Order: sequence, then structure tokens, then C-alpha cells
Amino acid sequence: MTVTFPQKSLPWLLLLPQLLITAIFFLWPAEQALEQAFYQEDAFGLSREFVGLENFLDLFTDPLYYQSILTTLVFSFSVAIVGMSLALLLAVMADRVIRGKLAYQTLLIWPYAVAPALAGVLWWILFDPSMGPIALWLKSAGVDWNHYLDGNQAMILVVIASTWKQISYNFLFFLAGLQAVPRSLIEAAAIDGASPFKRFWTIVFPLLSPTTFFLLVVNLVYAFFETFGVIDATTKGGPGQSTTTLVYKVFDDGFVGLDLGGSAAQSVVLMAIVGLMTVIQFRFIERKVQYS
Amino acid sequence: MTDVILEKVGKTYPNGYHAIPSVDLTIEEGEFIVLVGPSGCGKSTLLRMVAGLESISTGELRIRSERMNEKEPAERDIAMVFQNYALYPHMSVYDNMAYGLKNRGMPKDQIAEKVSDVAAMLGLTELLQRKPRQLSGGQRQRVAMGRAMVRDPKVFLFDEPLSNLDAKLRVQMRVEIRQLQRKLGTTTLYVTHDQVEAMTLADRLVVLNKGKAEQIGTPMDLYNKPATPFVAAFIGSPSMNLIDANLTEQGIKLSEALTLPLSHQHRGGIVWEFVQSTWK
Ligand SMILES: Nc1ncnc2c1ncn2[C@@H]1O[C@H](COP(=O)(O)OP(=O)(O)OP(=O)(O)O)[C@@H](O)[C@H]1O
Ligand SMILES: [Mg+2]
Repeated sequence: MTVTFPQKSLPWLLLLPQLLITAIFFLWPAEQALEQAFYQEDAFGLSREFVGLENFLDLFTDPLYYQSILTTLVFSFSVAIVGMSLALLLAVMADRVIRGKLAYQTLLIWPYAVAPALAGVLWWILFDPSMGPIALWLKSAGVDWNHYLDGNQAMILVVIASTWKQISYNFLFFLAGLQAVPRSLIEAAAIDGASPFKRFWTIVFPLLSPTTFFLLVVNLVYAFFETFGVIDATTKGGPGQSTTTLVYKVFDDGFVGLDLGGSAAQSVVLMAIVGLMTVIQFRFIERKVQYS
Repeated sequence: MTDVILEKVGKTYPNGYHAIPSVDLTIEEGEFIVLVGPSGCGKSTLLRMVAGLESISTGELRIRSERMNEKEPAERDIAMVFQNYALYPHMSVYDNMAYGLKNRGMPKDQIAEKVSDVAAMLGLTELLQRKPRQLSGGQRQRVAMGRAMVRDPKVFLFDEPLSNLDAKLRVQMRVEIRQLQRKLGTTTLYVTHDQVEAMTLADRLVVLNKGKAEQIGTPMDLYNKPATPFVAAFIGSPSMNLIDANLTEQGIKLSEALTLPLSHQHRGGIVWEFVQSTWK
């Protein structure tokens, strides 16, 4: 659709707020980070010195950085796979429900409206080793839960807290995908002698593959870049470095460790990753597999 | 030998809609039965009850004298061709046709043989590796038929299989379906709302109106001796003229000025015969 404006100024005026926000909160900081990445700054921000690529060299020779990359990959794929599997299961069940469908679906969509930090706090309370109900229940079941000491438990906690929110989003897309599978295909498969289980794996699931791929990319992007609030509210990257993802490390090194140059260099690397993922998203998702 | 028996079969949908009050129908082995009627009269409902895709609310369905009401679609030994063909979009033509055989655990080499036989019969041999989206509407229709045929079912069910084709292809496929059915000798239940299709294909027709079988009979029976005004108006193109009249002592009174004398002794219940005889 094309809309023609009488003068040239009106469209710019309408775009201005969005452009301003983008400039102030994205372009300007991005430019600052890009510049900062080539400087070394003292802890008080009083003086700085141009050091060329040194920040990047430090970064790529730091074993902790590689550790963080690994942590991020484990975390992101866990979030994506756990979140998508549970969402698919729930969507399949919701698709079958006949009575009370709306109530069921509404309840499942709610978590999406909860802010990431709040979701983090919620799970932090539930799993608090000394008083959290789930932690206490686990203790009574013989599991010694303390995510302040155990890195694996800390990872499980951030995965649960991050996944919980994302399930709603995945659920909506899977449900829409399921409802788009023509009924007659399922019926034809039933006549062809396929059990309900087999119908799902040989007919429905393959037809959901465009949705699944789309969600995989979206979930990875979410786990990479949008889980800062959850991690900050639950484990603060610890214990040690066990839940320090790349995004959390930018914050941790910059604002806690006060290594602004190194932090900026990490931001630049992340910007490159975002760029790459955006390209993938557009390349593959925009012309996703079309069945007719 | 009777093959399919519908005994007082009725359907009430879960929302309370009474789609079919009661239908009785006995189908002989190898017969080609066409269900015809206006949109919404319950043709698909009746067919889907035979297929097992809708539950039967009242009455009984028997195939080869075995009660089918509680049987799953897969256990009824029927095959169905859907209006939109319902081909599996992610599978090749070969896999579409082989799917039902695989599910029934037929050995691979037998499947290959069966599929290639049927593909040859339908002229699909060249297309076996294609995906449904790479086929024309007519070719998809053939694949759907092929998928039904490979399993050698007891009964074929068709739900408006030709309605998505252009007029010329429709006529051609009509002839082909009829020839294939004759050759295979498989009992067939075929739904259409196109009366030309119905008249040319059927051994016997079932005219449905609001879920009731108005008349069951051969095409010529229905054409020459419609049992109800509905059938009379529905069959034939251009359709039969229907004129309101009163039956009186003097004869059939069409208007104040025009009364047709009755040639029969009987005064009641013979209007149809009268009308037909005056036309001949
Ligand atoms: N799942 C359902 N729930 C309630 N009513 C239904 C359902 N399916 C069909 N009906 C109703 O039952 C009646 C018969 O429907 P059916 O699909 O059998 O008609 P049809 O003769 O096949 O029509 P068409 O020629 O348009 O396909 C219609 O009035 C329809 O609205
Ligand atoms: Mg129909």
C-alpha cells in the first residue's frame, strides 16, 4: 500500500519520535561503544588513551571469554529447546481441548506479560535455598539445592526462569501453526491407518517445520540478548562465571569490573552477532518453506 | 451380495444441530451410489459417518454384515478422496500413495510394486518423485485417486472430488472414474451437488433434502418418476415446471378459468401420474 503525502515535511514529522528514540538510545550508544572499544580508560573516567586493537586482542586471548561463549551456547540452546518442547506439548493439548478453550489459552499466554526482571525475582524467591518453597521441597526430596554454590544448579535456575516467559510466545505460534494444518490431512492419515502418535510425527510435525525454525531463531536471539534482567535478578552471573552469558559479561566487566574498553570491545562483537542473526532471520524466515 | 447397509442412520452434531434424522440405504457389491442434493443437505455428513470421521448418533452401519459404528476409520477398510484432495504436502507422490500401505506394515518391495501398478494405471509414473505443489489440479486429483486405489479397499468414498477442476477436465475425469470403478468393481459412494455428474455416474442415486432421503433409485427412475416435488424440481435441466393446482370434483383446477379433466377414476394421490401422462 502506498500513501502519498501532500508535503514532504509531514512524514518526517511523524517519524521523528521513533527516529529520536533510535538515535538517543541506540545509535549514539553504539557509536560510543565502537569508539570506546579502541581506547583504554582509567577507572575514574578522567583520562583515556588510544590503544588500537589491544582490547580485542585481550578479549580473544582471555580464556574466561571463551568460557562465557560456551556458557551462552549451553544456556541459549537449553532455553530454546526446553521452551519449544514444552510449548509444543501445551499447544497440542490446547488444540484438543474443546470446553474452556479460551480460559486455558489465556492462562498460558499470561507469563509473556511479566517483565523479565520480575520473572527473575519470582523464580529467585521460589528457589531461594533457605526459604523458597521449591528449594525446600527439593531438599525434602533429597536434592541439596543451593544455586549460590552449585554452578549447574544456577544454570538450571536461569534456564527455567528464562524459559518460563518464553513458553507463552512459543505456545501462541505453535497453536496458530497447529490450527493451520488442514483437518482433512489428519483425517486422510487416520483413514490411511496412522495412529494419533504417528499422525503427529509424520504429518503435523513436518508441516510445523517453518514455525519451528522461526521459533528457534527467535528463541536463540531472546536467550542471547534479552535475558539480562532474568540473570541479574536470579544469579548475577554466578557462582563464579557459571551463568555469565556474553551480554551479562558486558555489563559485569564494564560496570562492576570497570574495564570500559574491554566491555566496549565485547559490545562490538555482540553487535556483529546481532547483525548476523538479523541477516539469517531475514534470509531464511522471509522466504520460509511454503506448502500449498 | 449386499456390501454396505445403513439402517436408520441419523446424526446430531455436538452443538445440537440435527443434520440427518434417519436414512436407510442398502448398497450392493460393486454398485456406484451417488448422494446428491443442495448445499447443506447433509451429503458430506452421511459420507463421513460411513468413513468413521463423524460418529453415528443413531442407527447402525454395516459393511459386509459387520457392524461398523464403533470402528476406527482405519479398521473399516474404506478409502476416501477429499474435495481438496488432502495430499500430504511434504511427501512425494510416491510417499503419498505408499503411506497407507506402510502404516499397514506391507513389505517395501510389495509397496513399490503396488504403487507403480496403480501409478501406471493413472498415468502418474512420470510424476512419482514430485511434491504435490509441483502438480496441476488434475494431476493432484489423480494422485488422490491413486492413494485410494493402492489399498484395494472394500468401499471408495468420494466427497465432491471433481469440484475444483475446470469444466472440460471434470467431464473427462468423470468418464475415467466411472471406467476405473467398473474395472475394479469396488463399491462406491460418491457425493456431488452437480446433478449432471450424478445422473451420468450413478447406478443408483440418493437425493437428499435437509438430511432426508427424498428418493432412491436409478437415474431414469428419478427422471421419469420423481417421488416428490423436490426431486422433480431438482433433477433435469432445464428443470421441470411445477404448477400449483387444486384437486376438485371436476378435475384439476389450475385457475378460475382453466380446469383439466381427470381421466382416472381415482381422485386422490394421482396427481403426479396425471401430470406425467399429459406430458407424454
Ligand atoms: N461439525 C458440525 N457441527 C454442527 N453442524 C454441522 C457440522 N458440520 C456440518 N454441520 C451442518 O450440517 C448440515 C449438513 O452439512 P454437510 O457438510 O453434510 O452438507 P453438504 O450436503 O455436504 O453440503 P455441501 O454441498 O455444501 O458440501 C449443514 O447444515 C451444516 O451446517
Ligand atoms: Mg459437503
